[in-house]
Amino acid sequence: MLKSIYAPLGTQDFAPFLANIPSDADAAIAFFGGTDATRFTQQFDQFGWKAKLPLYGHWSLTVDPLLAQEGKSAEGITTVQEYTSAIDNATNKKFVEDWKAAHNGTPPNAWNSQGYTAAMVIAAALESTKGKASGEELGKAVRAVKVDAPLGKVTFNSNGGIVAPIYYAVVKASGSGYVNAIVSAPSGAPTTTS
Amino acid sequence: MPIVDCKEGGAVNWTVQIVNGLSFGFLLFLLSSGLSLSFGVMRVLNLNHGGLFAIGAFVGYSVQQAGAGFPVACLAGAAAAFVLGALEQRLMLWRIRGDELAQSLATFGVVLILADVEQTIWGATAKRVEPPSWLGGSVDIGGGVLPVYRIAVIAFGVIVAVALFLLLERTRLGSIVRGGVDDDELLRLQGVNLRTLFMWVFAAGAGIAGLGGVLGGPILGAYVGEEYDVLTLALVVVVIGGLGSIEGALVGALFVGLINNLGTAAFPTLSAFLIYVPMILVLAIRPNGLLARRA
Repeated sequence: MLKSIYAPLGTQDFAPFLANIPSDADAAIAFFGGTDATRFTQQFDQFGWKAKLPLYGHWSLTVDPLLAQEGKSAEGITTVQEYTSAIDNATNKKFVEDWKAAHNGTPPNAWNSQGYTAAMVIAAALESTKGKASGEELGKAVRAVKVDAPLGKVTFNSNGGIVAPIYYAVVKASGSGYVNAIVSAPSGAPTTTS
Repeated sequence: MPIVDCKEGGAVNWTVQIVNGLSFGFLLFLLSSGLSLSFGVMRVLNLNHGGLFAIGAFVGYSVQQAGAGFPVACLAGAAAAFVLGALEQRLMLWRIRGDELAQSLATFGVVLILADVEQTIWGATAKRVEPPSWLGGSVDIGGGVLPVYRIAVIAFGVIVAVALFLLLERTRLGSIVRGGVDDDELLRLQGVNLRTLFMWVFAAGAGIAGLGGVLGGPILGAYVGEEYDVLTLALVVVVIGGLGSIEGALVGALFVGLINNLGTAAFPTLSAFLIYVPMILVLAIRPNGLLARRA
C-alpha cells in the first residue's frame, strides 16, 4: 500500500484529498458510506481519477440505494457486497418481486434483506422448538438454523456468529439505471463471520 | 499488508487546488452573505440559514427532475427559500425581535422541523443536482484535472458579490439597509417602515442562500443533514469575516475556502480542524471579525 488518506465524516469537498493520491498508484480503495459515498464517487470521477485508476470499495460505497444518485460515476467500481437485488437464487427472486410489488417498484436493499433474513431465522427457530420461545431453547435453536435467505445460505458457527456468503460485484449499467452485477458467486467459500 | 504513509504531498497540483479553494470559497460566500446581512440589519442570528440553503437544493433538484433546465432550478430554489425566509421573519421573528435567546431557539426549531419535512418528502438518500450540460466536463490545468463547474461557481459568486455590493453601496435601498446596520432607531425616525424593510432584507438573504443551495448542488448534493453541515461552515465564515458586512462575508468565505482546500491538500490528516484554528485566532485577536461593520 502506497498511502492511506483519511477524510472526516461529512466531507463536502474531496478534491484536496484526491490530490494526495500518489501518481504511481495502481488502484484506489475507498471506505465511505451514505452521502459521503455519493459525493466521493462523483468527485473521483469529476477530478479525472476514474479515467486513471480502478476504484475498489467496501460494500457501502455503491450499496444499491445509492446507485441511482451516483449514476455513471459509479460504473465500473468493484466492491464486496453482502446483498444486492441482483443475487441469483430462488428466494431472492421471489423476495425482490414481492418487495417491488409492495413498494411501488423499488427493489429491496441490504437492510431490507437483513430484516427479512432475521425474520426467516426466528421463524425457522420457532418452528424447530414447536413454538416454545424461552430464551435458552430459542437461542440453541437459532444456532442450528439453516435457511436459504435472499443473500444465500445462512447458518451460524459455534460462537453464534452468522455464516453467510459475500459477493464480488461490479457496478454496471442495466436498463435505465445501474446495478451491482455479481462477478463471482459463492461456491461454499468465501464466507464471512461477524 | 504494511501501511507506509508518505509524508510528502504526493503530486499535488497546486494550481488546481487554489482554483478549487476559490470555488469553494465563493460557494461559502453565497451561503453566508445572507446570514451576515440579516444579522447586520436586524441582529438576528438565523440558525435556520442552513435550512434555507438545503431547501433551495432540494427544490432545485425536484424542478430539475421535472425536466426544467439548471437556470430554472436555480430560480425555483431561490424563490422557495425567499418565500420561506419571508414567512419566517414575518410570522415568527418579528414577534420576538430583540430577544436573542428566543430567536436562536425559534430559528433552530424551524431547522429541526424543516429537516424532518425534507426527509418525508425527498427521502433519506442524498440527491444529485446535475450541472448544466454546457458546464459538465473537466479541464486539464497543467496536468491536473478540474471540473468546469467549479470554475463556473467562481463566476456565479463574483456576479452575486458585485451585484450585492452595487446594490448596497450605490442605491437608495442599499443606503437604507446600511443605515439599518448602523442605527435602526434613526432609520425609523426618518420614516422607514422597519417591519417591511426587515422582511425584505431577511427574505433576500434567504433567497441568496437558496440560490447557493442549487448552485452548490452539483458539488454537495441535496441531503437531509445538509442544513447543519453548512450552518457550521457559515458560522465559521461570519465569525472570521465579521458579522454584518458583505465584504466581511466575502473575505471570510474566500479565506475559509482557501485554507480548507490548501491545508487539506498539504495535511489531509488535519483537515477536520483546519478551519477552526484561524477562527480561534481571529476570535482571540479581533473578536468582531476581520471586517466587522459594527463593534
